[in-house]
Amino acid sequence: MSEFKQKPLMGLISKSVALVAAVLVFVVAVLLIADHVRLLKMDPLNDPVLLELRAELANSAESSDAVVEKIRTYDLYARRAFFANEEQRRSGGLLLLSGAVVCFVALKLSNHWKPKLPTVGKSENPDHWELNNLFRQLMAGTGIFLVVVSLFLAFVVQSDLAVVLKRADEQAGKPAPPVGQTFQSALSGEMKFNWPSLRGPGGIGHARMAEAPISWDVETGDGVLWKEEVFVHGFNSPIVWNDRIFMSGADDEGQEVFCHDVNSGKELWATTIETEGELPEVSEDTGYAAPTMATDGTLVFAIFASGDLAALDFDGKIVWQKNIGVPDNPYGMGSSLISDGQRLFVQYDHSDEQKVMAFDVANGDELWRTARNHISWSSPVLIEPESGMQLILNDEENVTAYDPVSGKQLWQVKCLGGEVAPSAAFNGKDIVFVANEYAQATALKLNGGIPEILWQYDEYLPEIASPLVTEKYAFIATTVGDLIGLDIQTGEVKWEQECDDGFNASPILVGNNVYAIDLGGVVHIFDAEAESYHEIASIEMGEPVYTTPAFVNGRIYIRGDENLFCIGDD
Amino acid sequence: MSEMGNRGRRNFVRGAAAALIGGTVLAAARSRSPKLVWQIDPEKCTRCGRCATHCVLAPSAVKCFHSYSICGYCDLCGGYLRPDAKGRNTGAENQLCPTAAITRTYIEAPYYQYKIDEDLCIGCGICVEGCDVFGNGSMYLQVKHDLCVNCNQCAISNACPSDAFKRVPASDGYLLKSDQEKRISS
Amino acid sequence: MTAKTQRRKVNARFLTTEARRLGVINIFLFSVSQCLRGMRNLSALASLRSIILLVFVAVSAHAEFRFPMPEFSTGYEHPAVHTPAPNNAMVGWDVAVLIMTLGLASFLVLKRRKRKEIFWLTLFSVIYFGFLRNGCVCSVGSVQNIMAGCCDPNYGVPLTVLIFFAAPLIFALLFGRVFCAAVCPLGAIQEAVAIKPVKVPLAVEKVLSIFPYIYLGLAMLSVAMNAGFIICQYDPFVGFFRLGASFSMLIFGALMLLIGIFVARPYCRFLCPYGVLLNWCSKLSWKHATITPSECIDCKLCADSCPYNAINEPSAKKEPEPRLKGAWRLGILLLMFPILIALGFGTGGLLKEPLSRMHPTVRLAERVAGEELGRYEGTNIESEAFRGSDQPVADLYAEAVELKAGFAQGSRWFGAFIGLVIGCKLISVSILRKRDGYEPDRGTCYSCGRCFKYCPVKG
Repeated sequence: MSEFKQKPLMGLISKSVALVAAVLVFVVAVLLIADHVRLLKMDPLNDPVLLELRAELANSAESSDAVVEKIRTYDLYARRAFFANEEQRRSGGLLLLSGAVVCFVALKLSNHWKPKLPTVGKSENPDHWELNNLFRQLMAGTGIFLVVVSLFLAFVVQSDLAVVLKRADEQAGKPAPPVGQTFQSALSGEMKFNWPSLRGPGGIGHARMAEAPISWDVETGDGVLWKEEVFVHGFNSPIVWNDRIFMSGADDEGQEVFCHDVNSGKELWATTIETEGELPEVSEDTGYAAPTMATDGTLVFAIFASGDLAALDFDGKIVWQKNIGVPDNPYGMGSSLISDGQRLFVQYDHSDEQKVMAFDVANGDELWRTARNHISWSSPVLIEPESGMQLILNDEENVTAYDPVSGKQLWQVKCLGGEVAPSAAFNGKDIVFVANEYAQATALKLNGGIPEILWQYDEYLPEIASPLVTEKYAFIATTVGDLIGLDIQTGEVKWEQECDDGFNASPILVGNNVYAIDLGGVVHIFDAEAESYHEIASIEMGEPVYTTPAFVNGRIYIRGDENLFCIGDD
Repeated sequence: MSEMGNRGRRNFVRGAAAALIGGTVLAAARSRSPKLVWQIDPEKCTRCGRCATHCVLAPSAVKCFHSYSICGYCDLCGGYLRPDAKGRNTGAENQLCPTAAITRTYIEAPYYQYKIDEDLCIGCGICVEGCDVFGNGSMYLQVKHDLCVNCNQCAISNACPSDAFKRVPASDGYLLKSDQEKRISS
Repeated sequence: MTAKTQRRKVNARFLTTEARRLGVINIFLFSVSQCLRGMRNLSALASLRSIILLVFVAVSAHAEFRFPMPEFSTGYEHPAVHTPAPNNAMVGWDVAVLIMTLGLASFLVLKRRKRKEIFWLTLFSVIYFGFLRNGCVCSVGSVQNIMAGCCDPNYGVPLTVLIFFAAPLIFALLFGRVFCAAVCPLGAIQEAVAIKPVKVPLAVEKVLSIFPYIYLGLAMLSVAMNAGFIICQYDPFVGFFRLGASFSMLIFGALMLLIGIFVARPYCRFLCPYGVLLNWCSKLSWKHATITPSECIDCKLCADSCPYNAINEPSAKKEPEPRLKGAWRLGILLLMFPILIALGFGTGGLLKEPLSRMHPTVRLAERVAGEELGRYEGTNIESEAFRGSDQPVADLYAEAVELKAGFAQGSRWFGAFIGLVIGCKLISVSILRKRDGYEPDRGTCYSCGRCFKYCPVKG
């Protein structure tokens, strides 16, 4: 049996070699692991000292040679340290590997020189059958163990996705309100026939009246019921409730809310809103009173560039007032207010903070607030698809829907870009349409309250004016004066029309016609149903118009640069 | 006799097993698509920096590619200089690349060429981010197939946060941003 | 709000290429200084981007690029991009070496019967397939490529991989697991470190041997659902072969090797999914290594020589229990067989959620949904990347839901498979087999040749 020849001395030597090698391997391994743990925290590119030096250099007005020299020296040190460390680790690893090889070879040799002698197995036949019994029991145990582990895992790993989807389903699964009454469940009929916010009820640009005047003449006064000078400057649009028109105005000397009578045009009252804080810097073209007011039918609400939010009754008495923080914004506060009758929604997306808030209309208590991520200048819109009311907000990247009651985000689609001022449009049923220059226009079809992108278009895009969608078409009015008609289902361009001036005012649908006023004060009235651009009328107001008109009770209220006009028949 | 029957049965089962293996192999081989290799889709890449740290090779087989045909040859290169750089030289306070793998060469006023030394590049994507934020995006990360060992499951692809790694046919193993790019494959 | 327009118009003044370039640089510096003055980087950068976009979109021919591509007057030409082709030189060699080592291993195991020679071949395999060829593609991993090829008609399996998958199995059908003995680099490195193997109790060994089936099932599920090749992801030794891998991978491998000193071949015995297939094939092997070159004399010398519990002892002379009892038990087990499968099927259904997390898309969707519910603070790198992409959340959710449906199916079948394996194992130990001498267990024997020298009978 030459295989089992014993060489005790050689065996001993190789065993001791193996032991030494094993100790070496152990020490090196411990050192390497310690080194690794230490290196986990080290980041040579973002070394704190280096970062500090860089900041110092960046803050100094001109290049300072001393700091530059310091950075270079320190950078070199950091690199040297890093590569020395790398080298150390590499040689450590090799040492480890070779130590391990030596150890194993020595152990193999010791086995070779002192082989394990064959032993005769246990005296009698081991009872295999009994072993099998043990196996069966162990196997049953393992089976139970596996089932328990599965149960445990199934219990521990819960799906957030399922929760989110279930919530969406619940919203979608709400009993659909009877057709034709969609608006009433959220916005009262009274709201529907008034003009409670920018772009009318819900802020979607649809007027609830069959037709509006299509001919008038400002110079002769034909068809103009009255014309009244507006004394305080502001880029906000008029809102109308029954017999009153409300607007706001402000400059660096004061902020005002004022009310006109619909029949005479006379100013009924004007209330000054005192501000406590310092006024922010705003651009001249935004001013201090860009946001349009809103009303719930009992109070009117106004917000200014100072962050002052005020509620007044119809007689001009302040019911509540608060400052929600001075907006930090390169242009000034631009987002208008909107109310669903119980809550007042404020989109507050500025440089330092982005959020949307809901206030109790009665007392101004904050009902909820939801954090947002991007700056914007656009306004909230309340839409009412069959799945229930949604509050739609645009920002620099996304169009986002919130539950008006809880403030929880319902959905979000990333399809916007640039400094977005246009708000969302809605066809009254299931299509939301958003667009902004430097991004694209996107039509979103709501399916059970959840959107999917229907089509996108990226040629002529609006910068200020919000788009408009009807049952058949989507309309875009750009800042350089293009009017575009697109097929709402396919996105196909139906027509393009060039006007002399750009549009700040958003186009509004009244009956079968669309009213769009350009910056030169020309009211373009065109057929909303026609396959091509079909102009019904084009009427000059005689002064620039920045604001969106209000359409109530067969009349049009237009706030020009200096005057407020009421167009209509007696 | 039973011994013989046993053997016959064994042979039969063995034949069946061989047929099964053959069948599986044929089923797997039914699409004779070409050999696949790993590549990064530059449109999906977010320059997270994991290509530099998660490759089984050190340094990584991912390198920065530069599509010259879409480069603006800018003097002030977002991929070459730190955003706060005061000078345009290779000083540590100006240069973005942690390994100084980008060489800047004057071509003609006011154009500069930026060339990447692939031996120095570690695929960290810092310059890619710079070029994307302030540039044409002509710098982007690609797997270099002469270095890549083409692991059955790419270790970077496991770590990639944006699912940018995909298998592409080896015959056309690069996803270049520009069709007009001149290539040398030797 | 008109301010925006006006401010932009100011910037649109730069009309010539040169002036545009200068203008952009000015704006860049202005924006940088704004950042430094404490304004939010993001908004400054965003306005910077849109300004630059406007300036160029308006007049540039290459609308999609921020800076126009220059036209050189000096005749400068763009340098070429280096796009080297994949290196295929070794592929043919690999296949040849594989077949040759398999043949040589069979010859050594069946004819030469020398442990030492087999061990040298083992070392060769570690060096060639491991360190030289970086351990990839290996036969163990090839199972996944085959599965992918079967599931996904667009996934082509190269011929090399087909051969790496099939050759060891064919050899196992002919000569037993000679691949494990001396060719597989994973087995080889463990064989090299198995210095002081201790015996694992047979019953424990048999119970633990269901883990390879679980691993195989999981790997197949993962491949079928396109969730990645987990066998490769958790390969313990490939990090050593490449002399570099993630820290956790190296630690896992080192642990495996440390355990391997005392419990020989822990990966092969208790994890290796390819071993399952080899086991099946080897059970049917045409010729298999034997302990004794001729007739077993029942000397019991070899009984303790096998560190893998792969030597079957001769069956007891007397009946271990009344025949009827054994028959009853077998009957009950056979009846239980479908119940076990059904139980596995049901238990597998429970695992839908945990197993679906194998897929990165499902993980991402869960993360995004969790963020929506406010379960996490902030984002992680994946959700950040997703939010930066154009993909709508609804798409992601829909995709995840579809994948989960697939996983629901898959995990049920996976459970049924495990139930089937447990059932088969229970039945197989309950069948009384007659053995006359000591012989290797055809399924689990790695043909390592350790027992050869313990047999006093010489051929």
